[in-house]
Amino acid sequence: QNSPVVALFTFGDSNFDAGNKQTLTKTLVAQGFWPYGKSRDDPNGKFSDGLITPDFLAKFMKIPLAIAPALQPNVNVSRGASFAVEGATLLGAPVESMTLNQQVKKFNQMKAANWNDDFVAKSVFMIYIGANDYLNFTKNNPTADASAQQAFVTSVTNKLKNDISALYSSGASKFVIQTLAPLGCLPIVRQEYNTGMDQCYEKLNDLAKQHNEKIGPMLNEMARNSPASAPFQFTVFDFYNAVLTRTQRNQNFRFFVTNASCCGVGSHDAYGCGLPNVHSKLCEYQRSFLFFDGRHNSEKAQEMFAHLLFGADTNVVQPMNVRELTVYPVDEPMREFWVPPTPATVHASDSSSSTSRGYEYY
Amino acid sequence: MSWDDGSHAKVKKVQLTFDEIIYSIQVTYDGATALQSQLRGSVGPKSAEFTLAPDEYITALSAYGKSLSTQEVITALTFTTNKTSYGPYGTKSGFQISAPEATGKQISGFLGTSGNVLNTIDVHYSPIPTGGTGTGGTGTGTGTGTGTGTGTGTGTGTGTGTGTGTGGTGTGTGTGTGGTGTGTGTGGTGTGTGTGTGTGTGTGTGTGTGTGGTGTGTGTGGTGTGTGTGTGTGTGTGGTGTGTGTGTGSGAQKLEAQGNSTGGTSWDDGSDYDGVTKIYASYGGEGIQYVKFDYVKGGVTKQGVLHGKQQSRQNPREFVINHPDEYLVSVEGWYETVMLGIQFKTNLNTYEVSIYPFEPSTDTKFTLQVQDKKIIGFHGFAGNHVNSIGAYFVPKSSTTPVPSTPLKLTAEGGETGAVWDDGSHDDVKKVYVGQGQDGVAAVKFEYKNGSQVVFGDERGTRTLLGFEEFELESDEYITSVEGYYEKNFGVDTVVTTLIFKTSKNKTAGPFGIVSGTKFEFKKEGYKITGFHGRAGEYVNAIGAYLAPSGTTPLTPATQSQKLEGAGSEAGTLWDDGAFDGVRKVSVGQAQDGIGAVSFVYDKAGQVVEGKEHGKPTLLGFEEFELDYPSEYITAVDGTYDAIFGNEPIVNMLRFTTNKRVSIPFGIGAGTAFEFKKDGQKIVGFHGRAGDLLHKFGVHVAPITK
Repeated sequence: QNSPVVALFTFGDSNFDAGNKQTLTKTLVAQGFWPYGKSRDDPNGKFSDGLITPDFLAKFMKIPLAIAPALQPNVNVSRGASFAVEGATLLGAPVESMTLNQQVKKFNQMKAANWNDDFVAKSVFMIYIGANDYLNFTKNNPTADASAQQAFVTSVTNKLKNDISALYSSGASKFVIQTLAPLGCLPIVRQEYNTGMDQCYEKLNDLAKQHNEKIGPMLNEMARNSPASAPFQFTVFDFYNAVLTRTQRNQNFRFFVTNASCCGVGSHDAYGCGLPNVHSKLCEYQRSFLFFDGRHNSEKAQEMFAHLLFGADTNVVQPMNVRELTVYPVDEPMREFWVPPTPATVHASDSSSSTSRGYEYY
Repeated sequence: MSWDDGSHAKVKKVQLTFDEIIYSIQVTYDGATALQSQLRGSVGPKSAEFTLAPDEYITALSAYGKSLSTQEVITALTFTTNKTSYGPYGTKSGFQISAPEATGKQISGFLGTSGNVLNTIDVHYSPIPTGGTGTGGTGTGTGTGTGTGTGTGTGTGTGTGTGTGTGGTGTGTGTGTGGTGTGTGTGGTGTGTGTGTGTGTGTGTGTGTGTGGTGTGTGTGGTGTGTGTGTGTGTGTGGTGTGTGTGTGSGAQKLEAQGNSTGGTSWDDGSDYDGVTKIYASYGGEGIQYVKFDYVKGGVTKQGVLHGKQQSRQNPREFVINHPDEYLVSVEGWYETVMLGIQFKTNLNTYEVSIYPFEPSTDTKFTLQVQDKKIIGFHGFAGNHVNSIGAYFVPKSSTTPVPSTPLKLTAEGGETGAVWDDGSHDDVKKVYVGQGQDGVAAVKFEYKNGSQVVFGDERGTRTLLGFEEFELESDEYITSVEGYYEKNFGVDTVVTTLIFKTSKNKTAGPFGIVSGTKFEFKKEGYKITGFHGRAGEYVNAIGAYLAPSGTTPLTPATQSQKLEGAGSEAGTLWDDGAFDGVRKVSVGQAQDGIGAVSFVYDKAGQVVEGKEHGKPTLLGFEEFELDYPSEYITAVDGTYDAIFGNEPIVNMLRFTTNKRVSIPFGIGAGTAFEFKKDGQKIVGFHGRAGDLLHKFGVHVAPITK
């Protein structure tokens, strides 16, 4: 089956940063230097030992070009661009970075010169944002109680909705939203909050879970409220569980270390990878690590995520995978929506209720 | 207490009350507007008044006074004018005092002291405006007033003519044109020249030259009126020429559209509105896609036109402005090529529609705001997006809340039964619903009109089941009525169920069993103020009156405190509630005490006229106007007394402000009372009244300034 000729636009933070931070700051960033890019022997500003998820996804979408950093001058953005910047947030005004709103504005400024409306409507807009908001919040408000957390999650998700609306009204139709990772299990978080080797920092996991719970319903509402003339289409990648499963059942995924990073110093080797004045450790075989540095996945994990995004089942990415989203008619309103994950597997293993439906989900 | 009316152009009218002595004097002066002094003294048994002709002046005053054991009193007054004399009023006794005639002078004002009666009186002299020898003729003057400016302007010009010679006649005409204009400014200037020919018994022919007045229009907002009065000067057989110029212009202050107007076409909603009631806007990736406004004029909502473009991908926003309590004071916006964000600020809220927040490095920001003015209209430029926006401003206070006519919603239900109609009131106070076999058998409503409670008749036929009832709180109103009606076997269509919802999110009912066709009376921003319908053995149909809920009077401010009133429990309860302050006090006297009171308050810059409480008599009202907001009432004292075994009535009220003490309104006798609370000012009044004021009390709130 032919892949449609579309573009892939990415928005968000370091996970999708294709080199924007490097362009934006004009100072030297560690990601431009060894051991970043280790696997491909090409340090290029990406936050991994090699390629990142959007690179693989673009390849699967038969996009013949690398997804270029939009802030870098003289790059080919004809089949997509990365607007993501390290340190990006939804709220506030990050220093030497951009909020999602500013990234949307940048997209709009570049739109007229590069992409027409039809092309934009057919293309995929992928967003991963919010992790920095919660990491900063937890650092600045260590004693925030449940209601303060809840209020913060609401303001973050409201802003996310606002910015997605802005992108939609700029002509984007097809959205891929990734849920937040279990932030409390990132090696850098474990290291900073001294959780030891076995524990995650649950407060951050809770915030991520609260945030993630709101994503699906929010997008359902946006899709249902969009006019038939310009349907809003989306899918949600359950990144939280993709990371958590790999952390807990690492052997099944051939990861040997999931609680510490390949590159860095500290109790979890999580800090300072690539910084010139830090004597960071570097693992010999990065493909056995889930995390390359304190908070970014290894290329191997990134590739896995791209596979999940592009072709996985609805228990990972729903209501459809990216492949299905790219071929879904652009003028067709969505017929299936995001549904809250049911404990289907539990049902299936429970012999008394082994309905066909249960097996279907299993 | 002593008083001084000051010197004015001339005395126009004098009103006196007296019997053996002079009780009171009240003088109306001519000026830019007729000024009426307060009643000095208190109302006595007999009254008299006289009005002076335009060319008639009081030239002398003669009075008699005597000393009683407690006070000095004036026993008689005689006024002499250049034409005749008025009086004596009262009974001449005691010593005579007089303000004699002074050449070329008139008595242009009075001063004196008075308590319950007039104690002393003195006069101000000023030159008689028309002078000269001979009889003043009349010249012809033309005054043209041109009003340029924004808002309401009133201009007055006065001219004086002097004539020598013998009388003449002439005519004075004046025309004026009011301008529509932009910018701040003063109203029009009217100049007129006139010539008048006078004939008379004197020698010579008189020519009158009249110079028209200068009309100055000040103010901003809707209508500019310039009035210029010119008076001619006659030499020889001169005359007085009068020219009047009146100009009416309409135009609010227009602030130019801000933004990048290139690429858009101009739009203008105009300024002929009382306020803005709703804002619609939407943003897209490139900026603000459209704006649209709903306006209100005379209580009627006018939908504006959409400026910009509706697109399939949009993020529409709607903001309701609760006119008249809420009004727009400013608009802030920022733009690059098109508008990126607009912030609408009212006295209460900020409403923002923006795609990207203001970024100082790239965006241009502007604010549309005029001190002490509010926005009543918009204009600007728009194409595929909103390019620019400008606004029309009028003074905040220029639009007093318009009493809006209630909407009558058609009755729902059957066509049988007799038509009944309770009419519309201020609010519904209490609801009674009686059940019957097949539906609602009877309804009855109690309404509030100001302080009055109006009892509606029973509609339908009450059964043995009696009434179920519920009462609304004083600051609560009915927001919607839902119900059902059904055609039953053997009976006509009847209302089967009624459900009432209130502003405090309370639901009363369902009264009855839900069955049949549903109906609902509800309108956003409105409340239910009355009912009508059809009824016979049952309630066959019911309809409602709706009025804007913004007109809800008298919601007590939270900070205020109600002090228990003094007096008796006769009459019905009234309570104006608490406001930001008191602007004016009006007290009407009756034979035995105070007959009626009414107050003008201020709430958030709006003038709120309170209802009259009690029953005014022919004596009318005495007024005490405060220099709001710098002046406020700090205390009220007074007396009440029972006369002839009747219910006690309040017979005197006196208001103390931070600057002065009013005259006592009424004659004090009986039990004294005082309302005063340290650090607090009086912000509202309540009491009981029938034909007379029986009880009086106040609301106090902390002095904030």
